[in-house]
Amino acid sequence: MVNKEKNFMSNKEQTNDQPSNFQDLAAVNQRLAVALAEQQRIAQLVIQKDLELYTLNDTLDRQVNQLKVLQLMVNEVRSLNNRDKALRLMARRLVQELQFSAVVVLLGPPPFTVGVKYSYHEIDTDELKRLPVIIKAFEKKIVYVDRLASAGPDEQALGKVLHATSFVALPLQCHQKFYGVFICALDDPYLRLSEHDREFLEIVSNAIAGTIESLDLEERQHYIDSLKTEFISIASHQLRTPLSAIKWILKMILNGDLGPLNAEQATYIDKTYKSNERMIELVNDLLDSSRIEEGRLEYTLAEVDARLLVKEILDQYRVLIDRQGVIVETNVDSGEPAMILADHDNLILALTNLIDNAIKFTPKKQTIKILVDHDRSFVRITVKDTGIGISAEDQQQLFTKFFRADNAKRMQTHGTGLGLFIANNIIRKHKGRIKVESEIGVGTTVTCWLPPAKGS
Amino acid sequence: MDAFSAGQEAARQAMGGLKDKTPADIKLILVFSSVVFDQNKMLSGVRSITENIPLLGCSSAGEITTAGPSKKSVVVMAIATDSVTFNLAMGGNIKEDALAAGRTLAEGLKAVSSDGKLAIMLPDGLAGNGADIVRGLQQVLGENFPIVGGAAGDDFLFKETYEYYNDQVLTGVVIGAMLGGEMKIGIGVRHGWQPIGPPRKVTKSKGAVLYELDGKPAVQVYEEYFGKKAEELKSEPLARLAITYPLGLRIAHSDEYLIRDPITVGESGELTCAAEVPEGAEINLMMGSRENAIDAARQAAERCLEEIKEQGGNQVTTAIVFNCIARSKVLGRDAQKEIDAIKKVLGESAQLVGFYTYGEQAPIGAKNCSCGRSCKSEFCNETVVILGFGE
Repeated sequence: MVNKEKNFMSNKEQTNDQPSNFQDLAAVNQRLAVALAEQQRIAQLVIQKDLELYTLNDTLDRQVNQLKVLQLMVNEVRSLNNRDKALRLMARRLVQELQFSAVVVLLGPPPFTVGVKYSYHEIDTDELKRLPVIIKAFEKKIVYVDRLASAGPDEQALGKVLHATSFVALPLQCHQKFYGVFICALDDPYLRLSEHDREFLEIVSNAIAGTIESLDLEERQHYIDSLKTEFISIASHQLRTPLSAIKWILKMILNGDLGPLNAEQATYIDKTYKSNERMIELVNDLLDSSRIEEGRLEYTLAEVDARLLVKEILDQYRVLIDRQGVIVETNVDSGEPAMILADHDNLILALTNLIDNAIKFTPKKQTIKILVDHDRSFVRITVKDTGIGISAEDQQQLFTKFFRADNAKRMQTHGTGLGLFIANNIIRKHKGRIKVESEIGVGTTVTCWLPPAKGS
Repeated sequence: MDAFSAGQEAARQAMGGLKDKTPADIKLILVFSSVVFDQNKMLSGVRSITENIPLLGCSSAGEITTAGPSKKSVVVMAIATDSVTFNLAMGGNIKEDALAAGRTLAEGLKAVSSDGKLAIMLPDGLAGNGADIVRGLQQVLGENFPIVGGAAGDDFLFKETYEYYNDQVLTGVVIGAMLGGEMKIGIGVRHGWQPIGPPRKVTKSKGAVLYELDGKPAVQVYEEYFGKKAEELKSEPLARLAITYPLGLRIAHSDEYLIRDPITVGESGELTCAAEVPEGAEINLMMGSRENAIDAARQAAERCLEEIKEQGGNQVTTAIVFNCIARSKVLGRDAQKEIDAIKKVLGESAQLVGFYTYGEQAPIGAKNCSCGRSCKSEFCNETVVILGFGE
């Protein structure tokens, strides 16, 4: 401070022809001007750098957000099997998460149907479908308007219908097939669709086209499945008639109605008869499963006693049980009735499949337990064998059509792999539940829970 | 969703949260809504649930609830209290005379309330000089009377904004409420922008139109800094740039700056701002960042809570947030973080309601008031204002 004062003093002394404070001020002003200019220059540099980074960050931020939403959309759509639902979901995400003001998907060639429309504004889709730019977009001519003011009259017309300031209309294309037009818009006067946005929306449009295609394929797959079921049903009917004829003719021969057979003839005819029986069983199973798939299995519900149902089956199986040499323990001959609401014939069919399996896979002199018990909330039927068991891996597929466990195939027992499929379907139709617990070499327990008849 | 159902659903949710209260306990219904909804239908929807409970609200450029910011929605808050009184009044037409509109509102508020402690104002966002409305109120209520509020918005379309007063949807007016009775209130006001570069002097201006800075066309300040020609700045780029780099008016005898958003560039290089820029004022270009904006919101919330604690309270139960639309544009997706920062300070107990405004009103500037708060209210831009009610 002292030094400065000295300087001031010396300045004064040197310039005594001018008022001293005026010259000091001039010097200060000059210094100030220099400092201000420097401050201005630095501020300029800071702002320009800041602006550059800010813009870059903004662009990247938008891209990251867009890709996250796309990832989410694709994952969500994957679990859907309905095209309209998928389109609605995607449109909703685009509008709600990415702040687009309108998303429209027009399907098919002109005159188009509306796949989805999601917007905060009223959009006249009839007018939209007729716009020349939209028809051109379907013919692969991409519409991209970043600023409405500088767009052509046709594009302006689209902007008006969409209530938008910038927008795209893209063809929905997948594997050289055209599914329609995807339209996406912004209504913000200060935000415009950038080149990056356009690229992103092209990816979205491809994703939508891909989704439509795969869901169309799935629909076609369903159609093929239904054809297959119909074919099996017709073929089985056609097979059953001659097989029945063969059965009765073989029975007559075996009974000696056409004259006596020697031992060798009897053996061969018996084998033929058994093979024919297996064929009939297979055809019946096929018919039942195709009826289930077509929903043609008819249910007439009446109150029945589950114990009597099991008893009826066991009576039918008496001969086979004796022949297999297995021991059957059951509680159905005594106790209170266990009333359920059921279709007699179908439930017999379901339970027969379970009991048949138990007998088939249980070795001689081993025990099968068939128990029926009940309380207020359910009637439970348990079929417990001490057979070969089912591996954990195979258990997961038990209810699949035509599935046979590996060890079952090796045993050379006959079977179609349809039994549990049929049983499961029928039990479920009765609002019941079926559960299989099994261990290899120990045995299998199949448990069915059925709702009790009201009043019992 | 149609406008009526949107209003009805929002009102139903608001009232549902106060099931244990009778309609007589509910003193005020606040409504903030996007203009995507037909305003009359939306308000009828709200009224179908709230019936005759006094209602105040306006259209917005984004809505705020405890969950965070939302767009193109309707938010409704029902305030139940037995200690605070809310008396509503309507001001005049802002276009005809902004000052008189403010005066009329203040006179109305004074007439219906004998122990007024704080005024809430909701002016139209596009009708005229907001600073004049504030001045009009101050002429009647006193210069240091606390006034808090936000100017109605219209989703950044800048066409027409609306005010809701009981059953009516109005435009071009200012409406408000006088708060009286026993209450603990906290007000937090911050923007978070910093001055950069040398200050300049406003050498010619009229109302919100800034003609010259240091004797040169005002737009030059942006041309110099951004290296762009005025022609390029005339279309939307200025609005985009000005949001991040607004102008700051130095408040006399203080380090505080009042923010002014330039909206458009005129033919001779004049800037039309979102609020008045007085001739002779010192002005700076301001620079902000997302981090600073979020930090400012946190500080505003802290100040709000502090004030309540100074009055013997310990928590905020309800907070009304008047937040500038420009902040939501700067923050983009981080707008949620700003509201989260406020929530974190105010705590779980606080229910939030609010909207993105075209200008905020709050006490800012010289700390010369006996209540210890800097009580002279101003019309601000790019600012977050938190009005908290505590207990």
